[in-house]
Amino acid sequence: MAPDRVGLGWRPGLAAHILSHPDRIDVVEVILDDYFRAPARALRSVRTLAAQIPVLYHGVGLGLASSHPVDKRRLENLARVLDILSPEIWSEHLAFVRAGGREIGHLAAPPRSEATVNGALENLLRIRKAVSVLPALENIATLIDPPGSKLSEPAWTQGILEGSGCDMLLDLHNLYANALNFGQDPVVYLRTFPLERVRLVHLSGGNWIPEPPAFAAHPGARRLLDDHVHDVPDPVYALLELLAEKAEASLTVIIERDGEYPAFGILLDQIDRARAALARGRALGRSFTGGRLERARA
Amino acid sequence: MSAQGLETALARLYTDPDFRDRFLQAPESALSDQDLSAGERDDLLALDRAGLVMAARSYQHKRQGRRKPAEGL
Repeated sequence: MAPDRVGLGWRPGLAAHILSHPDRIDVVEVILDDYFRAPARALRSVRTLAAQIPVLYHGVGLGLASSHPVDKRRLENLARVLDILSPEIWSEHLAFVRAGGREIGHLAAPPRSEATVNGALENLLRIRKAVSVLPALENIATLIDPPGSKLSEPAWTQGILEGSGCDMLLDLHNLYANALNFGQDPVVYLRTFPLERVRLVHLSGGNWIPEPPAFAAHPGARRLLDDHVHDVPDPVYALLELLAEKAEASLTVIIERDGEYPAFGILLDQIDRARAALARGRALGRSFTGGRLERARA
Repeated sequence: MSAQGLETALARLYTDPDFRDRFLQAPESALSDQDLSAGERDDLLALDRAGLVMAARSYQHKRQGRRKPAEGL
């Protein structure tokens, strides 16, 4: 098995620091959508970057988890950029981002139903025709339990992954936030996802925000917003350790930070913590597997 | 088509503050012209209202802070 890797989301505000620490950062992740309307020199610069450090590519605006077809022009832009960058792996979200001519402007959780499972599978067929390589699919965070949902998030996700054959990008902070916001134990919740399909991992942070008083479940009720401008919280590293214990494939972990950047050393420390969590989880997985084999031999 | 109608209604609730306010004050009336099955209408009427308001605010914040296309790295 190839070694696990840990890196950072590529952001202009972090670029110089990332390039100054190739010994501490295994991989970076570039946002594909930033290059849809970019000049050719910008794409050449990404290829130059990829010659210096392994690069993953991440889409944010396709909105494939929908009963609506993906936007044709956006798919054409994606195909053009991926054709130039020729990645081995790229990723997109299990989200809808537009409907009825309205751009939501961010990743929204669709109703978790057979209709959106089928819609996502049809969209993945459209994507396969356009770009040949299917994306790894990422779970998203949501502040609202999407109405019209007949399936749990893990069952809905599994239906799309099994139907498409796609790998999974498991965002552990999204999972953590959804679990806490909707009354689940994050550890139990993690175990219900198809961990055997996970190849990529995102870590990030968030912020607790109050429910609006007019509709709050009780005074002081609040929800965790995944905002990418706070440090990765301790329980998310514990989830990464558990994932590494259970996962069968090599994992590539990306820490996402979209602003309010701390001193770069703090981000490097988070990379080290993620690496340590992976190592602990792998050690536990090996000891468990070894013990099971020894019992089987006895 | 109706599954698309549910997503369309949700997208409107997330992005149209006037429609959202009408929905929060008089949900049945607000949904009367939406392309929805009876079951989908019931799903929306039972919607998590705190979550709707929080999600809509979050999406508005994201739209306002949308990133510019890359010029380089």
